[in-house]
Amino acid sequence: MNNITNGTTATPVNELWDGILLLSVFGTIDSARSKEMMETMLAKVVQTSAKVIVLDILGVAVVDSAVANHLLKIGRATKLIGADTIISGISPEVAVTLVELGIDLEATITTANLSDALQLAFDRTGYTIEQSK
Amino acid sequence: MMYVPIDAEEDIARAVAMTEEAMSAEGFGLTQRRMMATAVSELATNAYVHATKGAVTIARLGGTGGSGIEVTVEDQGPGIKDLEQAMVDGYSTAGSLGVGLPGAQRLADEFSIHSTADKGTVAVVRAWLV
Amino acid sequence: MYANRNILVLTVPADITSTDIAHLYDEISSVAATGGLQGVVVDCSKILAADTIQARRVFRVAKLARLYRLSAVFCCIREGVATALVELDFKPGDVQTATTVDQAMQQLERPDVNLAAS
Repeated sequence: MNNITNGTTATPVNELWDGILLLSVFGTIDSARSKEMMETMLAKVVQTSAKVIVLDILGVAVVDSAVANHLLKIGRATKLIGADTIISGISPEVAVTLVELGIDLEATITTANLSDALQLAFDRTGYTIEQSK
Repeated sequence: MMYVPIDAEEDIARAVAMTEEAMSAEGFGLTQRRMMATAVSELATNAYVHATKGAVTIARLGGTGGSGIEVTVEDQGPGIKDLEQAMVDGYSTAGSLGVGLPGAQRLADEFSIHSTADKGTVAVVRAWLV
Repeated sequence: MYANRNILVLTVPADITSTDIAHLYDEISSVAATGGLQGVVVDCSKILAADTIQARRVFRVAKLARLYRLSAVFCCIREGVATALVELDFKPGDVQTATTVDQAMQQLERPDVNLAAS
């Protein structure tokens, strides 16, 4: 375990591919965590000139309206500095809960799994994946 | 019966986890657990944001109608001035999305809320195993 | 302000007054009138702080550009500006953004690679 109190980030942002960042989130997203996620992501976008961020929330236990609000804010902030956010890992339970809660994720692009998100990210950055013969 | 005081933001996650655990022990499926846990998260967040502290009580419900789980979220905060308005989607006094209370109502099988000015708010959500 | 590869690059001054924006409008209109323009890049790197009114003012440039059938890409918005705007509950909507001027130009040259449109 990392020492998360000592300035070390608990949510590492990985450069998955040229122009594509991946942030996998586990556990709970409270306001402190979301602030840290936003700061880390913005810094990494600027540093790498990323075009797309994949934010995987499969490991997030509960997506209530506060969490959704945090995710929307992160999406808006990254959009402002020049990168689109794709939220992946929307489990069936989370999908049902979001609909029942009445949450509108606005223009946010969401996918059920990481591979769909990756496909979109490649489209966005102009890459085509091909299987070699 | 389980009791979780809400004094800090991380206590909300604890109350949510305990709700899930209690429901899991009762045999509730994943979707119902998530929906109820999210309802509890909404209510506990409300208590924390508006009253800075509160408490969550989780109880098993038994009887002829089947088994269920009841979660009570209470606070001694300022109370909700206009409960009718607070139950409308998109109404918020705290810069949130404003779906918390009506959302919690939709996520639970039963929902009730009582609020008294300067005394606080008590919200009860129930889920039944059918 | 210079035009390159038929793309007009404009820089928003730090103060973002309505007069500043009017100048940007004039610039776009006069260059668009000559024809052959592909798009507009709006460089926001000079902005050190912006409230939601100023932000809306800047993003309205895209609406003007659209009247000339031109896309506008906003670029180089600083991290601090973005975080502050989001905290003020500002919603950028479906504007096109990029991290650098170069990327903004590339985006205008390859309009097919737009995630929002897919």
